[in-house]
Amino acid sequence: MSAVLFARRTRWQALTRQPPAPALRVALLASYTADPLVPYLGLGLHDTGLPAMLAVGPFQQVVQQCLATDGFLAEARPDVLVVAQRLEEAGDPGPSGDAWAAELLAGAEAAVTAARRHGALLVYVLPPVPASRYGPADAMHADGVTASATAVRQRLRDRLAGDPWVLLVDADEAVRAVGDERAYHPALFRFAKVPYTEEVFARLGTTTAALVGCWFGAGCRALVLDGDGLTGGAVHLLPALRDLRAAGVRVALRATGVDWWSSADATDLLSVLDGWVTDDRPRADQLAEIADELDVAPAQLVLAGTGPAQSPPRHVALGPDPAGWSDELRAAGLTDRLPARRWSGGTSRPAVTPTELSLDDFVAGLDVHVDYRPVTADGVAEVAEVVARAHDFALAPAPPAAALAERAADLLAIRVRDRLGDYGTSGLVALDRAGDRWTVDVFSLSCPVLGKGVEAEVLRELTRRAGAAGVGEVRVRWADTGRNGTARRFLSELDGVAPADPRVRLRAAHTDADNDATAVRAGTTTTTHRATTDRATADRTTTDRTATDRTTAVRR
Amino acid sequence: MTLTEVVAGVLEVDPAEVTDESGPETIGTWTSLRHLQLVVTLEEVYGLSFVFEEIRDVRSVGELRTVLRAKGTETR
Repeated sequence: MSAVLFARRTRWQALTRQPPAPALRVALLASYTADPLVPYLGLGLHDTGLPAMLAVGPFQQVVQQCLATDGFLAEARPDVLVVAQRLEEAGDPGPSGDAWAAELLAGAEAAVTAARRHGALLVYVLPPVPASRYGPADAMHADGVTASATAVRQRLRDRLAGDPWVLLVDADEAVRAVGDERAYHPALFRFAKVPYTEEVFARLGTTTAALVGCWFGAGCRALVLDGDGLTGGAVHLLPALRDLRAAGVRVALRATGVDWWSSADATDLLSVLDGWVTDDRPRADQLAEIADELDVAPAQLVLAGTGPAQSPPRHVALGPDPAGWSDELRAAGLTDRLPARRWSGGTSRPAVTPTELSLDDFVAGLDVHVDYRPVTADGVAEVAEVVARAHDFALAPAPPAAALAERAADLLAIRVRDRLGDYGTSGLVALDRAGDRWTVDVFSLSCPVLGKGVEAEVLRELTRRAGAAGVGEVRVRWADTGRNGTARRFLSELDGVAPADPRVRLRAAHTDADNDATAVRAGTTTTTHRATTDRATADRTTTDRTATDRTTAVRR
Repeated sequence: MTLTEVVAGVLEVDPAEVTDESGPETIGTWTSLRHLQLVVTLEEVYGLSFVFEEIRDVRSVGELRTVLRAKGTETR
């Protein structure tokens, strides 16, 4: 992270300690960890005059969260919904990228549906062309990464660009501007599913904020030159100021002292000014008068000068060399506008329409399979790491690896795969088998497999095993950790999980540090939901495994 | 920029709170994501690279300092 980005993050941190009243609620959903976007988007919106409250939803659940009528978006109630998907999380590209297109268009349609439902502006982030390609001949390959990604990006643009309630931000532009060498960091993705470096997120945040600002009319309507630092160099600004005026931006000047004009050698500026205030009043009063005279909102003023930024208004910093001032003004994006005429030449039809896609259909279509296997002594370290990193779906604070090693016989590792990929070892269950009750005291799932019905499927499988063992109850014991809201919500609604064996009761028991089992919720025993175990699948895939190895398929 | 300044800046804490014993257990904002941002920032500030095992195993400011020292970087 460069010193410049570090300073921006520090500014954002200072803002969050005493946040101004938010003008916007912004919700972010992405197929990856999008949290690093928050400071740059938040700061950009603040500097555009749109202080915002930002919330990041569960990652890799774009379709699920957009189609759900409760959950993250219902809580966030966004004015702006930012949705970002990558091709790398969309499985195999398929011929000509058709499979990628189906995945991302489904996400885009779901995002449009969610934005409409909440009356929100949708900002859709077009995916970059993946950095991993088929070698030097990829550009010639009919099904190459470049060709497939380009086709998908165009289909997304065709679908979304003409929608007046949608803004498009192109992540490929951000990646190209930074360069492949600096846009990615393998550890960020490996450990936290963060696909880009801070530089890319900074560019995405700045671009998104600028577009949202344009949409809400918070763009620059008038430029105010801060005359106090311009003495002797004002003539260098003339080319850029003429361009700004030609683009419809009003230009004014403020300075300290009634005799500023006589000392500044700046009479050349008079030909491009719509007004000026040079007196001894505070700068805020001068700016208010300029805004009033030019008939623009104070938030639409942009101040340009050599002094330090003061907020508000938005500030364009001019460097020490007056010869560069015009270029610096042009680079500030003061004339950025939404296009008067949007691209609407797309002819491709969306793969699905909002009315065709339901949450249940989407999850069922993922073709999720869950494998269960016992944990050997050699495998404890792997599952302990999964448990240590699974904060959202956990029953309690993660036990240390040594504690898990002592009870390896109680452990069941969970592996998940679906049509988008194989997520590897993604969770762990620990069972305390005592008498007629099995108590689940460790049940952790990593974020990439949440929102796919795995949580319920695992509990159904445990009730199936309990029934086969003649056990009458499976009890899930959990506590608030402060971070396990996903598990809390799921276990609080355990009524939706039907045991695979109707003879087995499924219960959730909420505990706290001092009190064991303070509240117990029961799972339903109705049979209106058919058991989800797919024996045929299990039989096909478990022929050479131990007796406790098994695969089940998620059905909704 | 000192190690303390980088840690304080990334984790959004007062530099006075940062000691060699500071880690995820003592600084509430030291989440797994911030841990990675901390490592990446240190890589940029000091012009070096951490290997996966170092990223995974480092659990305190003192251990970060030890890793930096092993790479030839002395910092306060």
